[in-house]
Amino acid sequence: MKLGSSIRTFLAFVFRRSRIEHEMEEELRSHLDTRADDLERQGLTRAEAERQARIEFGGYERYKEECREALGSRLLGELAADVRYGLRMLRRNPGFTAVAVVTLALGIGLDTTLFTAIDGLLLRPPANVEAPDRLLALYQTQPSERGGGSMPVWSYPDYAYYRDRSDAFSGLSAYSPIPVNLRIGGANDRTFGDLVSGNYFTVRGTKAVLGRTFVAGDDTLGASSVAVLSYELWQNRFGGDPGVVGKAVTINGRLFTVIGVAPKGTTDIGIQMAPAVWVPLSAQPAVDWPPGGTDALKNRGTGWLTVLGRLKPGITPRQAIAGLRVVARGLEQDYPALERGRGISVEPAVALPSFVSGPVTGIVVLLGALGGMLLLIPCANVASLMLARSWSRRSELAIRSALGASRLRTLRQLLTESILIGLSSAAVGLVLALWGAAALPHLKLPISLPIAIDFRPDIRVLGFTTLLAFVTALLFGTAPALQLSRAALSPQLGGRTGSDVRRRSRAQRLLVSAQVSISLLLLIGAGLCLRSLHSAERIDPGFETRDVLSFAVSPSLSGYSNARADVLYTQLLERLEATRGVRSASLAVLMPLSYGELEENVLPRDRTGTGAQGVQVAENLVTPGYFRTIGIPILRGRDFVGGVIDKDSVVVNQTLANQLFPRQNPVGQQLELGGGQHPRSVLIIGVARDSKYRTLGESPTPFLYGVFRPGFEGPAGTTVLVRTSGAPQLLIPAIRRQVRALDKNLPVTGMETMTEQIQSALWLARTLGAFFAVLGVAGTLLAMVGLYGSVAYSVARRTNEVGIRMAVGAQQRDVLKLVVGEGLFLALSGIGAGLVLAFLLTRFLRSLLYGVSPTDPLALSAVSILFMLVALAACYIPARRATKVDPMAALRHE
Amino acid sequence: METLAQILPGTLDLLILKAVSLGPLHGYGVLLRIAQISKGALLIEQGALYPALFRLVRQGLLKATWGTSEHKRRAKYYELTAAGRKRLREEAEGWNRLVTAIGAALKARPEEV
Repeated sequence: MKLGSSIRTFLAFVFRRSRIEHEMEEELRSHLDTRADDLERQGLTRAEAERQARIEFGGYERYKEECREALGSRLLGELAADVRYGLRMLRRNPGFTAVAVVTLALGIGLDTTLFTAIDGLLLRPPANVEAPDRLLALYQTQPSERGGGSMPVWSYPDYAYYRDRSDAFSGLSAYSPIPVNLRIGGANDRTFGDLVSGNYFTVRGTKAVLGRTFVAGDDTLGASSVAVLSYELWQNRFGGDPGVVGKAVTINGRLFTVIGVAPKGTTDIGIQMAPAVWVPLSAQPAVDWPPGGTDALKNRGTGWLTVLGRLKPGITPRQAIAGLRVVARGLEQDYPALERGRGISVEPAVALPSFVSGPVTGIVVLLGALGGMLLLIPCANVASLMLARSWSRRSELAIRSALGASRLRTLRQLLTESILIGLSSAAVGLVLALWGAAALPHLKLPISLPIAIDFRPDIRVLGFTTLLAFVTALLFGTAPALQLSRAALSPQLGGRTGSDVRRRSRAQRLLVSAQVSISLLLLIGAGLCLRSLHSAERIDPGFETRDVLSFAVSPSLSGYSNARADVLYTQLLERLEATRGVRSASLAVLMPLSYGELEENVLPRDRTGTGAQGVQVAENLVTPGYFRTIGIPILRGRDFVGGVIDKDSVVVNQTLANQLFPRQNPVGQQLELGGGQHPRSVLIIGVARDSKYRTLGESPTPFLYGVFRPGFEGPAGTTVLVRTSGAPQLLIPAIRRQVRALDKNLPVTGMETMTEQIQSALWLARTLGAFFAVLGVAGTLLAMVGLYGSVAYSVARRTNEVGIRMAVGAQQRDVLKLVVGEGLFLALSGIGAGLVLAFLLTRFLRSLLYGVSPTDPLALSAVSILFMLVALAACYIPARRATKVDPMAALRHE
Repeated sequence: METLAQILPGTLDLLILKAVSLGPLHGYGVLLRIAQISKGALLIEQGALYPALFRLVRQGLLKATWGTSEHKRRAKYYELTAAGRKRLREEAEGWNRLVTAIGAALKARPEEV
């Protein structure tokens, strides 16, 4: 009741303040009048009666104030007065207010943008998921002799085994993203979908906005082919047609009947991919992904599914894992050959899986640290501006305290002013952030997956910004307010004591040094990234990047059998090579410098049977002419020629050759591939020069090339590489025509020149580099303002000292030396601290730096020297003003 | 004025509750009623009444409504709420116990000790 009445009083005070005051006045007035009436009746004149009534009443204003207090409105009244007074103070100093607000808004705006990005990437719960905290992601774990750790994907039989035995879950569902060729009314789309278990939508608690989602019956082999569409696909391709249920769509060459539409913004849980369609797992043979008939549903050794479970009500994750362990032991006993040593682990489904979140968390921690710095620098600046200003406010506050304001009251007044500045800055910052967040989605990801991250700022972002406003207000406001309120208590009005000045100077020096060192650190980060990008541009990828064009086709997704695809590929290469301007063309399963994975277990033939373990080697499958097309020289032996001759031939790179056959000729040696149950013997026919395979930053990696064969499409389809004799872009229309002439329904995707592809490979480094550069420049600007401000303040404070010095004969040069020396000392100590910080922190950047040491001497010294010059300029300008001091005026100033 | 007893701290609330329990009153009326029922023996500064009234309203012990006084002036009338009635009973009992105890103590004679 107490709280309720407080809230009522508060609201009444906010909205009906004048009415309450008015009623109070009326009531007291009525009392005085009535008393006067009575006294008048006793024989006094009206004037006397009114006077007497007032005397009997006592201190009118004092009782009114006590009434306000009784109403609980006194604090609020004071707050309102503080706000009014604060606004007046800020209006009276427009220069200070503008600089403070803009400085802080820059920090708050950047921080809010950062928060929006992190929120969108990591914090926001997935849309259309019921009680996401009750969803767990399940991972099988590997025995340590096979590398340990959790395995990201499950085989279907293993999933089914757990599904039928896990009592702790109300359902275990499985899904797998698949590439999809979507044909709707004659138009083709290459996109992504999800193969999902029949209970998938039930487990995640997502209900259809139209029609229905899957039931268990949809997910049985032989059931009729049904699909659920995404809301976005329904809107874009069916115009939101309410009669879409029952219509047919062609997915990877097979007809599916639409049974429902998922709600808007439905994404996978964990990695936020937005599938265009969902089809039941039983449709795996129909959509032919993973390829190979029904093998994927039968083969216990092939992992391709992600498993999610919803805990039964009242079951804790700890209880669930205990139950799962029992199942894992059962699985081990039933299938010892494959499952021995395998365990089980669970993670919250909404978090990024641990094998992804590791690097992401690193980046987020880095961004968080940056965000903190971005807030600290403006705060330090504004605090030093406020300290400078506090000089002129000492008299004002001394008067206030002489008139009876308590220290707490003064402190509250000063903090109210800070909070007003903080809130204004937050408002401006929010506008900046909205603008920044709108720019975020333009950071194109280098992968062609439909990752749908929601970067729209929401109410949480607003809350975050408001929080920042108060945090910054406390950060920049507390120290000056404490100093000022202490000054307010000093006995002489406007008096200065030596110890006070010393104390303030110390705080100020510390602030300036801190901000110099933080800005320096940011600049060093930016410098390192710039250097890194510069050297990344010069990294030799190991192949000829000029005049190469690449694109992808996925015949299997358009319903081609392997035999028909083989014919298609042959005809396509013939047509391309016959095109004017094309020098050669070839196929590969993986695009160079892409994120695809293909590996083989490799063991030299003469070491088989000795118990020797093979090595895992990354692999690509290519057609004859690949090396010529991409420009990788064959150092020994020969290229593939194709046909029966090369059925069992491989080409190795230098690193693999040296690793397997040191000091021997590798050409002609036999290798055993695959290990395990189906080993395959192959012959090394050539050695190719080392090149970069996945990233430009990688060190020389063993690599193997096998012969391209249909039925082995990479995640983006089959890559077609074309070497042209002129500018490759000009040939794009001709190449598209050639593909269309072969099959007008075969989509061509990812048409790109190799130079563009390299740029994509540098995406992370470039984006972060740009990011650091922007922050570094912003930070330097802020630091310059801070340094300038503090030296200017110091000059203002020492005006009379300078005057005295000049009066007793100091030259301009001496004054300059005095002031600049003090500023430079600050800058130098800040730079020193910044360099120490840089040595401690920049090593976290190591993985992003191409060919640059985190303590790169050039970056470090260049940035330090640049900073010294800036500091010199920032000190010199106010110092020159000090030399213009008129000794007489300065002495009067005191 | 003759020498009047100062009101003990904390007893003003009790007096107000008692005065209002006899019928709704405006502020000035509360003063008159206190003077009347205490036979004019208690003195308070008139203005001091109002913070106490506001406090009692905020505690939910009194309810205030605007009305017209016998002098044809607009005045705020106070009356007891159920909670106020309960509080009056408790405070009155407490006060009586206190008075009895203090009275007994003051009557004590040397031979009784």
